[in-house]
Amino acid sequence: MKKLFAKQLVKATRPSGEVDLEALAALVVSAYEDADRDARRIDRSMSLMIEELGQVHQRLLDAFEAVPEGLVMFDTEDRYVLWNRRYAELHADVFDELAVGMRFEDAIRAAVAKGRYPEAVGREEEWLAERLARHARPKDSHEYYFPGDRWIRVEERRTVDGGSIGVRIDITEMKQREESFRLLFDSNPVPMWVLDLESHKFLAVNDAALAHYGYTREQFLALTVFDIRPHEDREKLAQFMREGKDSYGETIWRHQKSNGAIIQVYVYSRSLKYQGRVARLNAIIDVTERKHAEDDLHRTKGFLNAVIENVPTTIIVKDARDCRFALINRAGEEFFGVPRGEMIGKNAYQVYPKERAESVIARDRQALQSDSPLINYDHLIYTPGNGARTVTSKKLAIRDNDGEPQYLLTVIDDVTDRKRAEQQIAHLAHHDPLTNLPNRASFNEHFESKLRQTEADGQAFAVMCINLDRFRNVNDVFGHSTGDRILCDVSDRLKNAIGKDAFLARLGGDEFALIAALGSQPEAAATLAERLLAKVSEGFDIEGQLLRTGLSIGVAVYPNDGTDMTTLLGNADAALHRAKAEGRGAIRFFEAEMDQRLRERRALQHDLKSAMERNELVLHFQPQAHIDGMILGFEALVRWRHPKRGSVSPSTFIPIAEESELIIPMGEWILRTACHEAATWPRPLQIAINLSPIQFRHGDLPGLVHTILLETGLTANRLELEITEGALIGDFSRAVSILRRLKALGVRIAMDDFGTGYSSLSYLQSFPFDKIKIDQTFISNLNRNAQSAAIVRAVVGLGHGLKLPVVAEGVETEDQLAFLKNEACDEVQGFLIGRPRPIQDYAELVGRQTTMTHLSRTG
Amino acid sequence: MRVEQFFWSNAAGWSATGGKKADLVLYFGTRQSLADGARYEELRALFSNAHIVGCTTGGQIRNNDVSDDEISAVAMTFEATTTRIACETIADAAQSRTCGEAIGHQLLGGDLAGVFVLSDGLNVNGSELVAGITNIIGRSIPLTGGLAGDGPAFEQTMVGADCVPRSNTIAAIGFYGSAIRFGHGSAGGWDVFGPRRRITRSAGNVLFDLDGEPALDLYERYLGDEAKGLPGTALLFPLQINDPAHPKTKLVRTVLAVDRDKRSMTFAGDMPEGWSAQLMRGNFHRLAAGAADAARQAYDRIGDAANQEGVAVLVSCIGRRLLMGQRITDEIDAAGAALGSHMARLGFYSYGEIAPHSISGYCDLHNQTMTVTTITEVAA
Repeated sequence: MKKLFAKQLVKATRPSGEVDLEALAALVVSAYEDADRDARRIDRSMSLMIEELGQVHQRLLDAFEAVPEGLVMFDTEDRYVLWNRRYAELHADVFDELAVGMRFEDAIRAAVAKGRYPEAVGREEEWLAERLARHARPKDSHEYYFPGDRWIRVEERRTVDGGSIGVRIDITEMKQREESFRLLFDSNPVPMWVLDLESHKFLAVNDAALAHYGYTREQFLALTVFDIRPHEDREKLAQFMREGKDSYGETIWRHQKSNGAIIQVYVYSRSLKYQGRVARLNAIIDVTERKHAEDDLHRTKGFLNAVIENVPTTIIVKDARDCRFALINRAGEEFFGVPRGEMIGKNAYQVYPKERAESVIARDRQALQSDSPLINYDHLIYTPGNGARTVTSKKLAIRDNDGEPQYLLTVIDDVTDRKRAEQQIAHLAHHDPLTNLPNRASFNEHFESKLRQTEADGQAFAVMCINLDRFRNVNDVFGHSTGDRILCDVSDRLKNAIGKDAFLARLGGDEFALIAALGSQPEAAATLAERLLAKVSEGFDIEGQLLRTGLSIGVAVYPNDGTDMTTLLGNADAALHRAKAEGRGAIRFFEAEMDQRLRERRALQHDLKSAMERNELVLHFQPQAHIDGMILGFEALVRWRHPKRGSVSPSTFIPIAEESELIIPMGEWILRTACHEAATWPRPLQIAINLSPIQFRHGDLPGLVHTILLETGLTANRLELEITEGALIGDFSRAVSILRRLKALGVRIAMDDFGTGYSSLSYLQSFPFDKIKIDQTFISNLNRNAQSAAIVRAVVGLGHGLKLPVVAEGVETEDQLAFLKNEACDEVQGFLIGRPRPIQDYAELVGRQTTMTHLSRTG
Repeated sequence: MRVEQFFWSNAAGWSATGGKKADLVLYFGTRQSLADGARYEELRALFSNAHIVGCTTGGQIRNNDVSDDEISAVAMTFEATTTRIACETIADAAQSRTCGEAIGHQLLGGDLAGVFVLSDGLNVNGSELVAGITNIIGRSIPLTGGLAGDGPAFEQTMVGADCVPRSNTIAAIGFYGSAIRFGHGSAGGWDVFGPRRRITRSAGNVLFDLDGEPALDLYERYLGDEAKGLPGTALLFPLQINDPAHPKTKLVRTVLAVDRDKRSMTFAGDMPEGWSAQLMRGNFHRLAAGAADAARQAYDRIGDAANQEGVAVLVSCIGRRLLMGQRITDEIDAAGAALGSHMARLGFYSYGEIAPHSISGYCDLHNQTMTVTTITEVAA
């Protein structure tokens, strides 16, 4: 103030040094006023602040009351200062009255005396001392059992001013919960424990866990959670513990029992506080057995899935509720022709057009309502990717335990291909695969049916047997594929020519048969046959080459030529043979004598089989001479002395033998017998023997010849084998190979019937024959036409050119002999020289004593 | 650096001799004495080459005296420091940040060492102005100054920089170079009292409710018969506010205006909703100690130039003067004692003080504080 006044004084002092008292007074007054205002301001703000503090205090009291816990405050002498309503409520049964200023000890002592603290009953002083000691501690927390079956937790703390503040919390419910937990935990049938998350030791274990793991409680509580694991799983557990997550049985853990057994368990865990520690409650579900069962089930399921996936039958499963596709196996995918993904989850309307979908759904519904499988044979299903398929389907409702359908199982057997194959087989059974014409079986069926029909309507019909002329030659010369093509062409032409009413079949090889209705015109058969002949005679274009072949047709007519199949067919066949015999390319109608001839031929064939066994075959020998007359040797010729028919001509029975391959044993017999005979001749004359072309195609001919030469002791150079062109047709290289091997034995080979075949000249070039035999037809015609003489001359010239001796066969007259001499033909054979006779007749020629011969004959 | 401190009085006119060398002249006077522009023209005539910057006040400080009649001034002649003036006119307080940024751009330079700003005290949001300038020049450049005053009237404040002082003007001086030493200090000395309240409704620097009750009601209750002196008397009870998220950074806010109809109060800086607010009251001794503390901070910062001739600009709050009355000289004495004898001291009572915060160092607008800026150059 002094300093202020000094300043005021300076301010009030005029420049002259004189003090302006008025100004000084104003300054002083102003300063007082300032101070006064400040004092009033302080008063006002203090009172306002007190007022506001009162409000704050009230708010604190309100808050004090609003706290759900009981609150109490004591002063330094532990007298009650303040408590809230909750505190009063909690102690309503304990304290009779509470008042500010009352000592805590007095209040509690009075309550103990009245037995208000159940825990204190019987040890009142002791309990009271403990309680007061706790109250005196800087900080304390404990629990009391209160009247009314309640638990109260007491939290007390001394305040800085020496008083005390206390909190009372009703923990009855928590205690009950704890008790419930304890009950639930201890007597729970599920193994459970509480785990300390810091030490990993077990804090509590229930009885079920002890029983399950086989430890006593003491043992268990000494373990850590790692001790009940196999060693190799501990790192995994440590990792899991570090993550600190609760688990909800999402992982299967392996635990180890006290006996070392490993079990598989699910662990359910929750974090909790237990005895003040961060812990986790674990419940253990042992799934070892279940896991085994599941594994088994899984394996079985996998196996079944693999089966279902791989069976070649379409399997479809639909959901019974909405008939949507739930499963389609691989075969099903192939059956439908679309990826299954496009069908699974869809219903029929999404896969098929509306109408088809409706029919599919109707069948599905029917199957779902039925107790037995619904089987549908050979019906059509339209698939999205493979079009219409013929199937046999089986639909079956799969029901749950209540009998409600859950799924619809459909098994589809796609029989489309099988049906097609069956039709194909049926067709093949009745048709010739090459020409697609009906076969023999089909022909027979048709024949029978035709006969039945004819019995009813009496209409005549014709049966024709048709053969291709010389078809074997075509096959031999041009090969089988060409032969097949000609057969097909012929079939087509015949088919086109016969019209609708006729039935044409191929019975085998080049044999065709035909049944044609004749109606009222029997001559129609002839017209038809001629038309067929004409069609085939047009020739065939085979790789640019025109090939001609003809038909031979035998006809039998119902009812004139027979009324049953065997007769009619046999008679048509007889007519065919007649046609062929009479020069081919002909039509012959059956006549009664044809039948006779055919029967005779069959009888001959039958007899021929036993002819050799009965020694009915004999050899005759015809001499062969040098042109000047010197006998060079004999040609062996077989003769058949039939016991009833007498002598049968070789031209009759040799073809029959060749047809039935009787020629093979017969040829061997001839060869052996002739060689044996010749070997006995005193003169070393040559012996010529004919070989059939058939012999070239069967067995080991050179081996046979060699054997026979060794057997008979005949010198090889005396043997001459005569072959015809026929031996060389077909497998030419094989034939030539055989000839070379024969020649290598020292045997000579003669070309027989020279001039009658197609390609004789080319054969001469391809094999070194030893002799040429001019066919007897040329010789017999020498004096009838000039061409024959020219041919004989040319052949002799040819032989000389090739340095081959030429033999003329069938020399019967001196004129002929003279001509041949003139033409310098080398050798001759024929009646002029000598007829074929038993060798005895030529004993002299072979060098045998005639008398001896006679002797032997007579002796 | 050479310093010539002088003053103007109605009786004697300017006490200065003037000169062409002076670089910068600062002057502070009442609105009545500066409004006609004659004083500026006279100064311009005296200091033809200097930047001349001044503003209206709530009382001028000259050494140990506080005066309402004289104009307090100083002329500075620098040896190695250059200065640059930036001046902006503001139409609306909402443009405060933009104006601050414009000033920052004008002053920003490589060797800018400090900025002293004088702003209109009624039409500017001082917090936004400071934020705008700081945004541009950065926090490492010290920024000090104050908002112009108008005694206890709160009617019109004026600022002039190389021109006649005008309303709605912000002027700033940039100091450049390595020789300049620019110190600053800021302190209050007020005590909080009563319950801590919450700003429950506000808009910018306009406060409506505290704890759901109109703030003006609270002030009227505390002011009693002094309430008729509002808004000036509200300065007797400043508000300390702080962001609950940063409890250590406390700001003091003073009232610029009241609206009795809307029951609102306009403060010199932002009053963010959710911040806590507590009434303050002044104690003469503690306010004077605060002033000494601010002066000490500023003096300590000039370091190696402490013995050089210099200027200390004291910007103190009008509220402090209103409270202390004639005893206001206590704080001037206390500050002067902390600054030493070779510092020319001048300044003014303001509507807001600008200085970096003594603890955080972040520049902000303060109220009810004494802020001290020391300007010296190191010896050549």
